[in-house]
Amino acid sequence: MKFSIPFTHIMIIPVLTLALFLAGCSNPASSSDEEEHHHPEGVILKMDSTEIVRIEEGVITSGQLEVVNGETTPLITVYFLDHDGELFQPEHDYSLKWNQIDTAVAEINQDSQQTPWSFRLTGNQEGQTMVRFQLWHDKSEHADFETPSIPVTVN
Amino acid sequence: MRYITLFLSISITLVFSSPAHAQADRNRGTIKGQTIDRETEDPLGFVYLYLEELDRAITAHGDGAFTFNNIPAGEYTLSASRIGYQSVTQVITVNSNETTALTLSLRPSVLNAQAVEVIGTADHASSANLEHASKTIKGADLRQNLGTTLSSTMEEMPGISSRSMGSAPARPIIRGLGGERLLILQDGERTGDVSSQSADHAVTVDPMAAEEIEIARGPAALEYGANAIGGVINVVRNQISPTLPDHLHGTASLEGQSVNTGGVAAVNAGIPLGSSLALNFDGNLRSAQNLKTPEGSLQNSDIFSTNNSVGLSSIHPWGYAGLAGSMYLTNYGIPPDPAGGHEHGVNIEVRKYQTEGRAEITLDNPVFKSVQANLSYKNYYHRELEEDGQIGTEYGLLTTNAKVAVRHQRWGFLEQGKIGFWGEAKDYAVDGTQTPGSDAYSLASFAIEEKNIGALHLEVGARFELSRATPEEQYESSIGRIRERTFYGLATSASAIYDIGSGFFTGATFMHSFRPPSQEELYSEGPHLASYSYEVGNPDLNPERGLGKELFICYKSSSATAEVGVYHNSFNGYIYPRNTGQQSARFPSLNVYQFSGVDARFRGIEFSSQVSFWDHWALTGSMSYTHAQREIETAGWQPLPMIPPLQAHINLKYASGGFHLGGKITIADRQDRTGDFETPTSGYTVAGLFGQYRFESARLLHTISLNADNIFNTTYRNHLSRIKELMPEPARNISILYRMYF
Repeated sequence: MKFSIPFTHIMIIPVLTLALFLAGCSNPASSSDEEEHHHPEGVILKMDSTEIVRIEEGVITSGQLEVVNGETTPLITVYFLDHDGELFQPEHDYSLKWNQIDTAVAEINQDSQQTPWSFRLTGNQEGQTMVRFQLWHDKSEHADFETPSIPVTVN
Repeated sequence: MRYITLFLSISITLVFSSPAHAQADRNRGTIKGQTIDRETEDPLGFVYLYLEELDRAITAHGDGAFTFNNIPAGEYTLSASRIGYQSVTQVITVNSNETTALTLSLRPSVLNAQAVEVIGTADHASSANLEHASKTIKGADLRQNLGTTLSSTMEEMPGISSRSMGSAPARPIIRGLGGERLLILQDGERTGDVSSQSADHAVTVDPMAAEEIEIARGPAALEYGANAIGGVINVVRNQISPTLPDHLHGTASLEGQSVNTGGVAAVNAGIPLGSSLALNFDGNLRSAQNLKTPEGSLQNSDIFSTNNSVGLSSIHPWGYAGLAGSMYLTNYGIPPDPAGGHEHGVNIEVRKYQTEGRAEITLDNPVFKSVQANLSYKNYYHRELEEDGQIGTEYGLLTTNAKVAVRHQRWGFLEQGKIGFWGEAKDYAVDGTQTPGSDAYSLASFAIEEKNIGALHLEVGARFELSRATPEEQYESSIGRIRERTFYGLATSASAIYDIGSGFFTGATFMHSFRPPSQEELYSEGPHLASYSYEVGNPDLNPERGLGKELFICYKSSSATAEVGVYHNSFNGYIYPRNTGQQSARFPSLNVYQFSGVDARFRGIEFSSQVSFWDHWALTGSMSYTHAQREIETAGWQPLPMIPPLQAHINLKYASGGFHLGGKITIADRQDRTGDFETPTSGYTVAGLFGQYRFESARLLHTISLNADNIFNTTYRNHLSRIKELMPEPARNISILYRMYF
């Protein structure tokens, strides 16, 4: 039996279809645009221009968050430290997120009048909890940085 | 990559349309036979027949009749295996324009499929029975050991352990070697997933789809990679059928397990369409809840998956050509680890789509027997989700593989072998980390040859591989200069096996492996929540070179098999992620794992045996031990992490007619030779029971397998589990599997 020409034609169609399919695919995990990412190496929290918490190289080198039960702190602002130790706050595409905090003890609030890097802490009940902040990249929906768990004390 | 894939596809098209393969059907013959039960001489149906040199397989009809058509004249090795019977291997000669008639009689046996009876001359027996480094799990053994993962299905074989992280993510380890040193294939194709790089990544092969599982080491492994010093595991699924079935055949299966309230349903079938087309399809659906352990439920260890494929092949006297498509979808959980970085666990969603084409053309040539071409493409994606649905990390890998190989018969000094070319293009991307996207291209040529000199069987293989990793951009980063890297090297292997006589064989295998660093080992930088790690690559890594040596002696007869072997594998630049014990500055809840290349050595011993006695009883035992170290400049030779302890399996089975019943014990020693920041594990003994019953009705073969694992509900910990500190291994489990062959 000879190899038939019609079969050759039949095979060309699926193979070329396969080729077009292969050539047309892009990696589903690739970022679709030229996104700029920030990679801080530390964080400073300031209240009324006074440094209250400092984090460097993943370690809390000084401070903690404190609030009186039933009261709310003044604005606390988050500054990030770059590789050279300079303070910065991303201008676009980033926001501040936090987790871990036990809201029965204390809660964090932001309102629309504030910058995205400021918040107030309210004490709901005497005790201790922890909070971890994230530098959240809104476009890619990933955290580019997170702090260690920072102690929060409600007196 | 587009140009490469287009080029490869058009090349395949040209191969198909080339007049060179338009072979006349002269010089071809037919094998027509009958399989019978040797004791009763009744016809024996559902026998799996495999023609080794042509890689063609068929299943005998219910009445035992079978036919191989269009076989080029020559000498072939035909093997026949069937549930409850001892496998038979016979050398046959096919003459031009003639029908070779034969009757294969299979002897009922209590032994497993590893016991092979060889029919033929002494010379032929040597080559057919002495593939020392090859092992197969199929039939009753496969059903008895069938687990949720490929790894758990294989872990009772000597030298094989399971690296795991909950129910779904598990990968086999052979003689302490895993990751990139152990290739996992499906129908001879790389899986195209990222399971080799991290413990939380699942292997995208469901054991329920396997017709059989093959394991190969030594020269044969070089067809698939220069890095497979640990071996090659090939899951045979037969998506593209090389033979035309003459009737609808397949299996339907249902399985349930108590330890995770899980179940799986599966079907696979092959059917002829007209006179030259074969359609194969299979599918399965698996669902399981959280795993139960003696200390409670393992939270977030559920799994849901489906794995489906369809293949169409056109079979002609000149050979066959076919296309197949498959998809693998799974969602599974990684248990929470409050101390390890995620207190709520991580959910992983995986999807993989695969297309492949394959053709084999038999040649009427005194030297070259056939030419085979493969092209496959895999589109893999997975994302890791935190409890609140936020995406932690995403992985994408697009892999294109192509291979062209020629089989030859006697050619001067060489008796038979395979020569080929192989290429791979990988597009790798990770989102959620600083790891840059990158492409990797590999090209290889290989040759594997066999020769019999009297009672001596020789195999040699060589593979030259060129590999290039290209990041999307080149820049200075905190882990070093991200840049293009090119690697090339030669991997070689030789195996010599000598037939001492009276059933005894001895031999040695050497392998010199070459493994370029992978893209993730070169460029990774970022958090990987599900594996509790912050991964840091090293763009300056050099290729890993391994030298493996193995000596063994074995005995095989129709009533007993035994084998003992010792091995020594040494590595220059053994690449592994070292736990530095330091917190990441950017993600302090995660420890930094730094990819490093160090000198390492693995030494070990393996023993396995099987003996039948009093007609109906079989005792099987195996033992394996690996001693692994790496060299640290400041501390000398220190233990490597994640190395299995001394382990033994003992299995006693009674078989009569369609029944078999048995008990099994697994014994493991403590492992206190631990790597950095690794927890030692205690020794344990775990017992289980199993039973199977098979019967035939209306031309259907039915099997029911019942297993009871960890019957005493023992609390024990697998040293290779990444969550061994959280929870022990599964509690008592009752599983039942019904499978119907049609």
